[in-house]
Amino acid sequence: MIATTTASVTVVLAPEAVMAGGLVATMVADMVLPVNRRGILGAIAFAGCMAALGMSLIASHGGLEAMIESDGIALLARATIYAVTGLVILTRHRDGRLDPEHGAWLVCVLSLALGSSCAALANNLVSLWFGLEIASLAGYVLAAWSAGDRRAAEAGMKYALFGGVASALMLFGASHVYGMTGSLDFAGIGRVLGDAPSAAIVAAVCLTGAGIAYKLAIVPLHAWAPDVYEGAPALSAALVGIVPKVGAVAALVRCLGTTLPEGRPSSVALAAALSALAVASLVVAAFTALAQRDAKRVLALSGIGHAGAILLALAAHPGRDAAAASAYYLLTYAVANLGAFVCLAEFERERGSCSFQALAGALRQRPVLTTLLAVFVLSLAGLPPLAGFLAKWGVLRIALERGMADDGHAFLVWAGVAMIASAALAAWSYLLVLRAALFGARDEVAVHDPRSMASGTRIVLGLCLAATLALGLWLDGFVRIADVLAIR
Amino acid sequence: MVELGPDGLTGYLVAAAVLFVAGVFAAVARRNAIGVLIGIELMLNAAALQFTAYGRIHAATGDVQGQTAGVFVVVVAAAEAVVALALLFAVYRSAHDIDLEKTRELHS
Repeated sequence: MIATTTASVTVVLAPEAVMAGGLVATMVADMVLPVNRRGILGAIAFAGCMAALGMSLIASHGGLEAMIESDGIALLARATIYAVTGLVILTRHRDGRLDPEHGAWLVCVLSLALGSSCAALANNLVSLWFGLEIASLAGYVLAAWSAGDRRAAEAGMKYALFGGVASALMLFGASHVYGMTGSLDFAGIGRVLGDAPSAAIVAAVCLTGAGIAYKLAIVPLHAWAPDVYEGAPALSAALVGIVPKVGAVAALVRCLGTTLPEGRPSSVALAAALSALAVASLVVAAFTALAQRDAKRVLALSGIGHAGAILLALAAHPGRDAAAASAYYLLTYAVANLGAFVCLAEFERERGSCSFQALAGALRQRPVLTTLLAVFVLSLAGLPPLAGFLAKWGVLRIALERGMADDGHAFLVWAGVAMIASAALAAWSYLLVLRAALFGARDEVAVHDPRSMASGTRIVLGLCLAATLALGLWLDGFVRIADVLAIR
Repeated sequence: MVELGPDGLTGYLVAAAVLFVAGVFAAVARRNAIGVLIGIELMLNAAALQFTAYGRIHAATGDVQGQTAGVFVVVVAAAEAVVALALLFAVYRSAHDIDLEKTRELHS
């Protein structure tokens, strides 16, 4: 057993308790309310998210029995998870009132948030797996959330089957890790891993890592992402692409920070392996994105590339600066990705699809929405002064500084160079999306649903825009985030 | 015959490995989505068996994490099967097939 400060369960897990309460309240209200009062369901779920967000900012920190560790990265991750979830609920509020299954949708969304925040708190392979699994089960259903749509059903099925295999791999690896090291918590495993571990343990850890890599859609376990994002409704793709990723990255930050402190014999090998995966993700995603003809597929591949960049920061230095760079990157990715997907959800509602062909003529018909999409996509591409630029610069600085300062880590310089090259390539694929939306010519656009944007969607897009601009100009952001991460 | 170790661990580990490999084979080779799902369940159960087998060894020191993990796996595997079967049903309703090659519409 690990010696952590054991705080009271109720205090550390207050945000999760509030979230679970909101989930149950939504479920009960869905059963008892008459059909014409269903609008209140979204309000209950939104209130639950906001209350959990508030609680996560004031909840105390500490560990629980080597299962849960509420620290700085958990605070950031939980706040991001609940904020993103609340905003997505707000976006679908108007359309949801027309959906007889809106209550079930909300329950799935809240479960996704709850599972992801459990994963963000995990200090143990079983609690990490359990949190990711709750999030995944909700994610599978959300991906298929488009009644009668064959592509959405296929997306959900693919996600569930790929996800099931990854989860089983992770668990099988974890059981071997437990058998050979005698512990399931990160610190206990790290004590065995630190000095020249046996090949069997390394293999077991690799299997376990495969499960996490799948969640983050790291190459070579990324194949599901483009198909799932394309088939799933845009808002589901936003949730599935952001919320579990935030949880998994938070757990990874804690795992790398506690299992392998600097200077252990195997930490260089781990850094090399992680940066190889990161470079593979960056390069494969950038090249594959060039061949796509659907905006959601491009964003899926961009998510793979961004996960690679976050991994590169963590590989470079399992310390607080690297964690701050990756947390900042995660924040900018969450904000820009959410904004882009909310725009795409609007286009999808109007045009039935987000293929380049369907997006043609968007600028003439919806100038404001198209401009917003351009801003978010350019932020993902890393164009200054938008948030994505500072995030990329932060990761690059970490990788290059470490690679040049330390001969054992010289490969990080090459990883940094690969990141620059793949960022240039990826920017081209984002420009292809914008070319379709801005310059694609199509005279008659068959608009299925000509209603103007809902006020909830306007608020969400406004907040995402403000955050994208503000994060890009937040020059001491890395320092401030590092201060938050110092919380124990 | 497999030689059981003094603690009886080897037999369990071999059984778990056989289950796991059978599961991987089913998940990779089957084109029928139900077959893949069965493969996943085999893999999950291999992990649960291994957790409890290792847990039996570590239980001597008062450590019951292995058994606890086994219970977690059983519960989540059941939930996973429910969700996956519901999704297969949704696919079957629209495509009238659950052959992973024939129902495939999403590709680059």
